[in-house]
Amino acid sequence: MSRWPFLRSLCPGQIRADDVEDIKEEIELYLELRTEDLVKEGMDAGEARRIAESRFGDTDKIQADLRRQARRRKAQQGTMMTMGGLRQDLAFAARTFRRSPGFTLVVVLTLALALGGNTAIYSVVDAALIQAMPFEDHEELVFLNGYHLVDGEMSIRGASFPEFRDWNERSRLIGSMAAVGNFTLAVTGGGEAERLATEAVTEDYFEVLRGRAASGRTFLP
Amino acid sequence: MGGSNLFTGTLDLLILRTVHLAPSHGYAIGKAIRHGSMGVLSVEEGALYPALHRLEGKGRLEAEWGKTDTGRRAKFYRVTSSGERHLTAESARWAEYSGAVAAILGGSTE
Repeated sequence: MSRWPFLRSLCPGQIRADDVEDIKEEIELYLELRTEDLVKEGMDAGEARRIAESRFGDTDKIQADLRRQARRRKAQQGTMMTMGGLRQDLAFAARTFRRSPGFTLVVVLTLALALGGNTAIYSVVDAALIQAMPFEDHEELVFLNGYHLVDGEMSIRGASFPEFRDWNERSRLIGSMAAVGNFTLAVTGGGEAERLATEAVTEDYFEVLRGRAASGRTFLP
Repeated sequence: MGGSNLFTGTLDLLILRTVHLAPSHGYAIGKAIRHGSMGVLSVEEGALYPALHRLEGKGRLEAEWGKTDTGRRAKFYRVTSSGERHLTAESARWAEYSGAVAAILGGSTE
């Protein structure tokens, strides 16, 4: 295992003296063990060594082969560095998480809550602002309001019913208008009382929105 | 030594299988293959070491320097998970292949 994988990759295609020694030592071990085995079979030590070497073949050529292989691999490693580094980083992260489950839990919860919150907010933004409203010609719909001017700040105040009537009669920009007012009502009856969000609307509301009743009918003139 | 030469690709398979049983160094791997095949298969050293280094380069083997039973420094090879997958897949392919050859040879001698 290399202690400085990064430094080593700075010179791709170069193998270190250690690598050359490693190759030599690996083959030397083979020769020694083979010699030992032959001696055990009753051969003279010098003879055994010679046979081991001759059977191994051209030691220099094989070593050169291995060095060439190592060089090629080093060169490839240079190009694989980014991928390998990424994998190592991920493996390192996984190990760190496994070693400190408390920290991992906090991180995961933080991410989960943040992602969950974001998803919730953007779902609302998407539904309210980005997705088309479910009305025909929705891009022609506008919301009219009366405004207060308090200390140079505008604030919504809605409109009175007479105002609405005036707007409706005199406006030449708006095709048709409907007024809405929101009320929260308490409904009591058989069981427990229940709060209901309701909307009071003028008679041409459904016509303006070109909406139809899901069941029954809307207002008749 | 004697014995048949190995088909290319087969050597990788035999090495992986041998190392899969226990991490070993080159000499032990060569010996294990020879013994395991009852002397029929022998690995040329000229092929064994390049094969080991190639498998290491492909990430199918992992090498680490350790000590042998007698206390010698030796490079020990171990099968990686990628090597395990390769071994499983290639063993199946080899069984299919050798079975097919055996079936034809068995049929032609009648």
